[in-house]
Amino acid sequence: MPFFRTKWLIRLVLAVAAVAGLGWLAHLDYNQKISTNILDLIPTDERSPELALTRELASKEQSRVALFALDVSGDSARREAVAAVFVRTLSKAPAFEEVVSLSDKTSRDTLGRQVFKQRFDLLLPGWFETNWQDYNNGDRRVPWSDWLAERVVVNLQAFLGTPEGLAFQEVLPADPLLLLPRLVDSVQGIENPASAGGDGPVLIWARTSGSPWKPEGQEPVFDAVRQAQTVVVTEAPDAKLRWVSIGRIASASRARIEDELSGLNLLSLALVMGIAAVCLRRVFKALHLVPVMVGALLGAWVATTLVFDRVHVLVFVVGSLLGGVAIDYGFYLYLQPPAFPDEPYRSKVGRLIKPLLSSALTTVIGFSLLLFSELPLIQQLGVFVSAGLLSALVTALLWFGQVGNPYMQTRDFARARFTGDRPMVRRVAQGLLIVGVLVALVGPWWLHWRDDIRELEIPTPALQAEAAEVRALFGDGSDRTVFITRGADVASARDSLARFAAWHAQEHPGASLASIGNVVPTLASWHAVPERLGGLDGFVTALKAALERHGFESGAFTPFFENWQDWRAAPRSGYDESVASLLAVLRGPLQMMATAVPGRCSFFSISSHPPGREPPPDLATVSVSGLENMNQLFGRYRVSALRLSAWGLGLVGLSMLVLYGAWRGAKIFSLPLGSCLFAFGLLGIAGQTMNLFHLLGAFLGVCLSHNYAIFTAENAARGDEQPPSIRLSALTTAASFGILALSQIPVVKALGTTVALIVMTALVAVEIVPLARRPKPTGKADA
Amino acid sequence: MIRRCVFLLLFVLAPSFVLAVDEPSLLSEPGPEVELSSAGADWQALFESLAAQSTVFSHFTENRWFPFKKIPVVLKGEMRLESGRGMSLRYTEPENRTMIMDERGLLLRDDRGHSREVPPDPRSGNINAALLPVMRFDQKALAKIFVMHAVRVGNTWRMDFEPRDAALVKTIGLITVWGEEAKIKQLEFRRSSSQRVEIVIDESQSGVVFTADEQKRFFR
Repeated sequence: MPFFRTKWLIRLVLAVAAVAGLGWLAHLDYNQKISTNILDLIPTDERSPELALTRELASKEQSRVALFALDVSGDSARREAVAAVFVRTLSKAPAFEEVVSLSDKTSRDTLGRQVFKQRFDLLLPGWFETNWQDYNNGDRRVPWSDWLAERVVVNLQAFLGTPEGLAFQEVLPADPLLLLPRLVDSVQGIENPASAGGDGPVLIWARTSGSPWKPEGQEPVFDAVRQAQTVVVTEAPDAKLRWVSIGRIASASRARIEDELSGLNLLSLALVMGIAAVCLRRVFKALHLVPVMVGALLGAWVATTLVFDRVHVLVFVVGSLLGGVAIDYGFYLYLQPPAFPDEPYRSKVGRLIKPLLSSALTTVIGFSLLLFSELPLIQQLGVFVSAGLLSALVTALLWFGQVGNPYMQTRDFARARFTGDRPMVRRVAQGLLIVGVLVALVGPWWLHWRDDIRELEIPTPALQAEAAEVRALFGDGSDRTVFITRGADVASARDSLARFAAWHAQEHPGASLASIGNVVPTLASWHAVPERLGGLDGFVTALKAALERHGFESGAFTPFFENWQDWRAAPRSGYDESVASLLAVLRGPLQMMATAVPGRCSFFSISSHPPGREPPPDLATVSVSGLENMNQLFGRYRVSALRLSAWGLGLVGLSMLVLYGAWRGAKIFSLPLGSCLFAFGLLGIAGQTMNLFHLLGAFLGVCLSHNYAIFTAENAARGDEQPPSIRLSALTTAASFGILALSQIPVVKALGTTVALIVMTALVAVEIVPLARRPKPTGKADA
Repeated sequence: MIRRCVFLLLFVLAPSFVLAVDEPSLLSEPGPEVELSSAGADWQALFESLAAQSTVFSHFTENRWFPFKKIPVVLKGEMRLESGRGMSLRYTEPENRTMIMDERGLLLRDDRGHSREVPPDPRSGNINAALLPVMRFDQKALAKIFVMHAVRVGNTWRMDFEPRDAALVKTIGLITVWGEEAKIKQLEFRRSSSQRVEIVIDESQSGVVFTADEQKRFFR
């Protein structure tokens, strides 16, 4: 086919591909497609149900909470008045479903009234069971009703000698059984132990209506807060608002990522172009490399967005640096001189296709294995890089096919070769190689691995400091632990809570465990009530007599006797109905303490001790106050990624042995492997704590340096010089990933550092090995 | 809940008034109103000596009167007061129990040494502000919160503190302190004749030194 027709055919193919790709990307809803939610990095169908529950709760309910601390000078009346204005303004905004000042105790009082009203339904079953057990353990000569009446009065007498006895004296005429006083210890603390009151800021709790992870859920919240703030400042010019919400941090993170994306990419592009300008004879010809990079990124974006419904933004942050890798193929094709004058492009490609395909396909195989990872981010990275590299290769092969002269000359120094002619140079090179081997063998043993989900967060220091202040005011601290106990229904969740409470009492003796679930009876005790009531027909008379015997005015307890008779006479409501009546009155922060959706019921508990050992899985309870379980999860994913990487490397190594034979294949594979071990060794000696993303970076770095090893070996086999493309490619890649090391995002920094280190090590190794060799005795042969 | 906290505080504060006395001879009626901010020299001197107490150890008997009980509930115990560390009440009858009140709040401790903090109630902020000056005999703060009636006969005296805020009257009630010279003999928290707490001082020592073990057991 004449070059002219070939050229236009290729251009047509490239244009169609570009239009199709851009068309696909243009029609996407990026708010829906791209996530900044850290929890989207965890699999939806995570195999541990407790972690899935944690994720779900954190994602759906907890993430919609916004906390406000309003500082207003003046007395409490003024502060409350200003806070009321703020609450009122915020409540009117559709962006907020509920806004509650913590100093407003309406919700707590409502709950108190409801528990009092339902005390026989909810609290009597557990009370009966405790007493029945004691009664059964005794000699049972006294009738149940007489025994119980005496027990009630003895306990009442003892209770009056406690500090709580004074506090509850007005309740006792209606509750001599002490149902409410005994409950207090087991529910006290379920509210935020906030530092409200006094001269501190007024604390306001709110729940937003939209998703905090999406701009359409965030912006109305920000607008409403701004408006409320304006109104408050009109009332009290000195008022100062501090607040925290997931949406606020997510929005700032997104802005930060956008900044990093544009800033780092521009810097990366400038560096790559700078290296090209220094090393190439005609810089503008380097523009032929741009379509390769664009093609790689376009292919990667299209493939990733096609394969995944939702893609985490970190994939694009990391993946945007794919350009540094993709340019490898362009360099290799473009910088190879023709084998003979006017060598046709087809012939050149024929010469180079084996190393190109070997490097590209083995790397793709390696990254494709990441698809088997459990972590969505790793799967997405696997697809992104694999698709990007394939696109880069295809684009490079096509693009240079329509360029008149597909060869770009480098400057002399970029092609300069060094040999170990001089013994001193040789010895230094050998010394460096020995040091490198030592570092590679010893250093990795010093590595420390630690996975922390917070490293996935995009730091927003000012906001995070403000958030920490506000959360501390609301009582969050390291001295308490929050647990979630779950169940398919209320009864099973309550049953698990009872078993968890027993475990907790043994594990943390003396520590309190407050939960709204303690107000709910277990199903077993609920069903036992009719039987317990069976022998209590004479209870009222026996109790009156016992009260008089112990110096009480039995008449003062008329409220109790009336309530008791009414309750016994009324038809008994069902278990679920009774619990639903209780949960229906929960408002504000208290509402977050229990969920009773069929199939997904849970109770929160708050304990007065720092996080400790996780409860056994059979208790259906998980602690959520820390990120420990998330970190454990990430630790598990690192092991999984390590296994996959090992398999990937094994496949890459095996393919080398198959393609190049055992000895040559092993030599080729030793370069990426050695570079990786050296980089790990260096990081180990430097005391760097490693995480999952160092491992992923290492995998990427190994695949890149693997390219250099193949290109070097192929040229050596043909008797050619080491191609200058390796130098340029390694420098541009190291520059790209070195830029990543400047990122403020810890995982991106980890990736960048590791890849840059491995690539530079590989380049230095490629340069040093010839220096360390004794030159062939060509002179003698000639002689 | 608010009442619970109030009464806990009242209960804790009560023995802070306790100093040593012999047989109490109580004045039965409150005296005329005395302006706290401009009390006479005699009252001024008494306030200063009461406020200057550093460490106190007392035995006390507490009678609690409830509207539904014909006879009071009687408790006995020991009180330790150390300025700077707060006050500790060790009840010995009817059961052993320790309560500690200091700048950080209220702490309950059982015999096994397990402690439990009583969380602050935001609504009790004003009550705290009202009661702490009583414990410290802080004249200026007392003047803002209470109206004082006082009477003196010879060496014996009686002070009645009535909160100015009607809400506080309902929650705290009337605080009455009886004493002789710079020593408190008895005090009472009264919401009604059938709803009150009497603290009778049996024995007291001031200026005592608490051992390290006592400090560890009875203070935070």
